[in-house]
Amino acid sequence: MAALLLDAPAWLALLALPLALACWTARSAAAPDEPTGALELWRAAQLEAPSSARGAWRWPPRTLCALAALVAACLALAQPVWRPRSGPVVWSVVVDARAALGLPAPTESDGRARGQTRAQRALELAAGALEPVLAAGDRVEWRLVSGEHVLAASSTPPSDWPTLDEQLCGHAAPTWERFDTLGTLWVTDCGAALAPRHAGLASSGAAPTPGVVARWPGRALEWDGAANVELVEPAPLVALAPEARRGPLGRALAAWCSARGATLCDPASCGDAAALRIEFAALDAVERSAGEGAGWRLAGRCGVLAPNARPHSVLLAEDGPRARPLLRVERGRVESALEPDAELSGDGAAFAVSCAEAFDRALLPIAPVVALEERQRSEAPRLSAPRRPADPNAPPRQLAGWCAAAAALFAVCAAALRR
Amino acid sequence: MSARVEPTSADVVLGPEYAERVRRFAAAFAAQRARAASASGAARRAGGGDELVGHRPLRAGEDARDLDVELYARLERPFVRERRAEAGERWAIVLDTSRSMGVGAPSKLQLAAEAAGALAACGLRSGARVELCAFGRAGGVEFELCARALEWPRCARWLQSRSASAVGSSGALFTQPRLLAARRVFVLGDLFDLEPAQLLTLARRGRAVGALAVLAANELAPPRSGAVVWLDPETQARAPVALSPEVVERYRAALQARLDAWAGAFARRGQAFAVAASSSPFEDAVRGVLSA
Repeated sequence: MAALLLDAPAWLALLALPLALACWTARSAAAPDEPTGALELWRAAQLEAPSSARGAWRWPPRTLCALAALVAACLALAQPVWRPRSGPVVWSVVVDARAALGLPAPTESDGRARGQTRAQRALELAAGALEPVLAAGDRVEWRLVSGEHVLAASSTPPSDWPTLDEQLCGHAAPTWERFDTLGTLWVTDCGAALAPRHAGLASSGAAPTPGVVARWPGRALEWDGAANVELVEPAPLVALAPEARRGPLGRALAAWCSARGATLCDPASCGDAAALRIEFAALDAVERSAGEGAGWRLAGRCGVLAPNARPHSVLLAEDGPRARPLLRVERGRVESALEPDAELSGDGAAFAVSCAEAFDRALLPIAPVVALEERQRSEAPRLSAPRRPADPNAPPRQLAGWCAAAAALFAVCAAALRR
Repeated sequence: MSARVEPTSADVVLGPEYAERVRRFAAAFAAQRARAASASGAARRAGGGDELVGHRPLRAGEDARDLDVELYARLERPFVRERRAEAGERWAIVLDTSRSMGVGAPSKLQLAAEAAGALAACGLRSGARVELCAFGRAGGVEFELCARALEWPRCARWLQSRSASAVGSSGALFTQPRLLAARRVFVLGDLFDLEPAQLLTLARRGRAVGALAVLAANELAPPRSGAVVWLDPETQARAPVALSPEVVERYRAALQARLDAWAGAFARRGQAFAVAASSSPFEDAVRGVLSA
């Protein structure tokens, strides 16, 4: 789609000057007095078609030329640029991954609450903003972004993603400047603080939303709309077989549970209620293995961990080229390929810290929380349509020179014409 | 024809060439009148006709038929006979100096004054006493009487002192008793505030009346489009008019009907009526009003 853009649109404010001059000259040029001795004849001639010439506005050619010259000069100052029609475009929609997008959307102007989250409302606005600018052959790529990282991308809107609510958890806002380009649309709930130069913006707005603003095992802090209230929550259960509690991993886990307020339980008794499970692989009868951590070393009989397709990290890997995972951490689960009574050597405190960090990653945060300032924020929805990017094969043409030439031509005409 | 001196206001400006043009025009008029009188034999009728009042040298531009061949044979110098149409004849020339006469470029008053001067010269050349009549700058009616051809420059100065500044109706000029003493009365103005009957009341007891309607260019041919507020300079009344071909056509038809009414009324009484644009030469205008 071809487009006429202005590089310095602020100069268009000067158009008020020629408009004011136009009104003034048109009014002042209205119907001049012309003396005649035949006034009565004119009155009689006009009786059949009365009309008022005094209220009429006159636009003599000289005035029109002068106005055209002023308008063209203002346009030249605004530096118009003609961007030729470009080919199919891949529109990029950057969706804010902050947890606040999962809060309820503010009520609409008519007072209705449609039960949408801020993300759903912003995505609805984004779809509406994209509709008029999409041309045949265009595609839309939706990206869930935190910082500079694209957490997820799809050609279908995130509102259709089954995991959107889970993904809006504890992430930072996108680095917006990184995505401030033509053909891009920002989707967020905090548009008031953003000023994209090239990208479009679809912001759901925000309204104060009471809720939990901080949580740790067994406790939570809730903002009730006026003040923060501390809540007592059930302590999270950590499942570890009793026979494994004497080993180094069991002792480190017990210390970590004591510090975090978690409760150790028997896997057989706590069942699915456990927030974190420590599991040991079935042991091979003869094979031993060892791995070295940051200042500590663990060795003992070794089993094989089942393949895991879920996101995870490796806390301890086997020495040597095989580098099999010996301690593997994922959300809600820690798996050990070594026996519970493996031998710990080196710095035991360093081992405890490493284990505590791994347990934290596996257990915390227990549930997503939204910061207090996010819950207290209030702002209106905001929408600005994205703009089609220029075709790199068809460079834009500057029209300021043509406007200036037209202004000069009109000025010469105005000077040459008789009043 | 020499260029006219354009006035820059509603005043009258009679340029340096004007006197010569008037002299030539009056000479031609006198010659024409003498020929007409000679052809009709009026000069030989007892108790009437032109009277021989003397001889004078032939001037450039004069009709050679007026040459007195007997004198030429004796003296070998060209002399013409000077005649007086009728002893004691009196002409009155009424000049409208109302504000509406200031309309146009040149103004209507300019042409009317030039025509008045030419008429005065014709009258004086014919031996008549000429009395000019117009509103003065102070508002009252003023007269200027010239009895001899040599006094014509005084008439011209008097005319040059006129300006289109009077606010009274020109009808007041025709009620002056001094006009009744005139054998011929000429009325020069735009005649918009008069009706033919008002002037024709003067056309009694052998008195001839001639009227010259002087109109400005925008009165004869107004623009056909645009918007204008017509202003009556005398009453300051205004009429905003959106000009269109239909409105202009109605105006022109009304103006033509008015002028036709004047011409018809004067023709029925055997009097002279002429219309002239303010930009036309005074010779054409005066010929029309002297034709009766």
